[in-house]
Amino acid sequence: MAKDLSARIRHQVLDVHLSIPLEREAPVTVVFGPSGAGKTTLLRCIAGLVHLGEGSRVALGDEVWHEGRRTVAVRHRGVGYLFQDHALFPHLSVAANVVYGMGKLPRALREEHLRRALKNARAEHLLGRDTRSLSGGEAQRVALARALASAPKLLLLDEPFSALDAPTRDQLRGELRQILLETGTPALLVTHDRAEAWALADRMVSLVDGAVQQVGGVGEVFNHPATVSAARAVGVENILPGHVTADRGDTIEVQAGGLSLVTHNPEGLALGESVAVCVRAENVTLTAAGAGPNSREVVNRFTARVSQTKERGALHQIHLDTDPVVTAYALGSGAQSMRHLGELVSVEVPIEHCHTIRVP
Amino acid sequence: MDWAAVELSIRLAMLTTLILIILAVPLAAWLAYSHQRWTALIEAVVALPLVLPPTVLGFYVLVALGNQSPIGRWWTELTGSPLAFSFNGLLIASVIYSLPFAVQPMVAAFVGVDRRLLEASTVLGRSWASTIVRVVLPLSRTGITTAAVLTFAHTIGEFGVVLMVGGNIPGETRTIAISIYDSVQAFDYDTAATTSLWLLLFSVVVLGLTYGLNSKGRTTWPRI
Repeated sequence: MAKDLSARIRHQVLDVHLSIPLEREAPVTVVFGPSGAGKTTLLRCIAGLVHLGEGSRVALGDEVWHEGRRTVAVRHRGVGYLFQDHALFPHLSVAANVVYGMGKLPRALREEHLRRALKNARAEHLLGRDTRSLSGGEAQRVALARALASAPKLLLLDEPFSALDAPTRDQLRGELRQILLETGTPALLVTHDRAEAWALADRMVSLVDGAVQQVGGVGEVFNHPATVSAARAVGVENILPGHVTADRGDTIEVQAGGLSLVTHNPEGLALGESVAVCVRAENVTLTAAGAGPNSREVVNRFTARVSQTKERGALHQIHLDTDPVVTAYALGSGAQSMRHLGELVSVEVPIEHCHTIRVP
Repeated sequence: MDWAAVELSIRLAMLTTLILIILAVPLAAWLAYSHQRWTALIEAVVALPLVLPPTVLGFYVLVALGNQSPIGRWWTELTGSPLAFSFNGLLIASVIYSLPFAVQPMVAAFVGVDRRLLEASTVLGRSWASTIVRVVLPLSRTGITTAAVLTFAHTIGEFGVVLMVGGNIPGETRTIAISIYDSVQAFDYDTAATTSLWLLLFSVVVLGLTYGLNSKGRTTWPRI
């Protein structure tokens, strides 16, 4: 009995037409995009916190929340909203915060619901604590309990972990999915963090400049972006513009600047068409030049020099002196990279990781 | 000491404060949270008593409450006694005169409440009125206290409006300020001095207590 959340929203920066299935077994839809893409505004529009014009429509299943001039008030929509900064009421106790949304519930049932909500959010130990003394992670747990306590039809999460330190973030992220599955709460989560999207999403919406670029599974959206903007939004490091120079049946050859790459052709691209070849940096393999099998026999293998290295924790981001510049990752330790500046390396871009997009 | 005047002043100030706090909460909430075209106009009207001479305000209130006006006539028909030069008339004038002292601190406090909390409350199913009572008011305690104290103190100290609307009827409209003026007119400097001193001490104590209680949790300049 999956319902759909459907939204057609025209509001200042947003121009969105979207339909998302809300399933108990696959509850999390992640809205992913760079800062300023309009992710939070989208969430606020769905919650009803933003006044929408006549051209917009928001509906959950057959429950229409906004259409034309008719709008269901925020408080009657039955959504849960988790703010970036938890937004707990500082003057109320933890318990009073959690039962805040249970106005209509008989008093006798509140205690039971309070305990269940705290248990669901793994926040039982916080009962009795002073709200102002909670740490960021604890406060977010209580906020989650508060949002879940009124059994929302849809939970909206606005970068709920961005204000937390890394270990707490990882822990809560892992638990959140479990909690949503246990309580059967469909959720729409906004984030610009790739790791978060990978960890949580059952499906993803990529949003750039107020427009939906793509809706699909996480792997699909990350590895097979539909447009160049979508590829940029999901952080594909290598977006190489070029055009098709040869058609070999199931594969095509693309000339991108000084590089000639062979890719699969599921989209049926024709000779001469403008395309962009997308390759994630982690899929570009670097080996010492001269090592491995004869370079002529492997497609998409060429030699290049390392032109720049940037430290990214255990991984080092390597720029190559190709035209256009190709980015890859190499292991490193501290400031020491496995690859040195100016070193000649053998580069391989496996054909299965080349994703070709038509450029209109 | 004119104890009847003291009693009258305190009664007037307490009633004015009570009425104003009740009236000012919805008005201040509306001014703080709505952005309609006439919000600014209403705000300006509320602030008028700050700039108008009390005599001007008193004059208009007198005209509005007098037996020539519909309100005055209606009141006289209803109760059998006129509004002008009565305690009730004085109370109405005081409420109008002290309006900005009650509304402005509240608006400032309401605007200072984190918007997210109001949104959180709405999403959790609370109405506008319920959110004001359960979130805005508790978080605006300082502002409401300030509003109450300023209103009370301002009413105790008002003179021009009282003189215009209430005149100088012992036990009915003669407040402390009028009583002091009366004493001076009658060259009774001793009584005037005693009453003035009491009023001064009272004001210092009340204001000192309020600001003392309100200063808790205030940000301090970092020590170098």
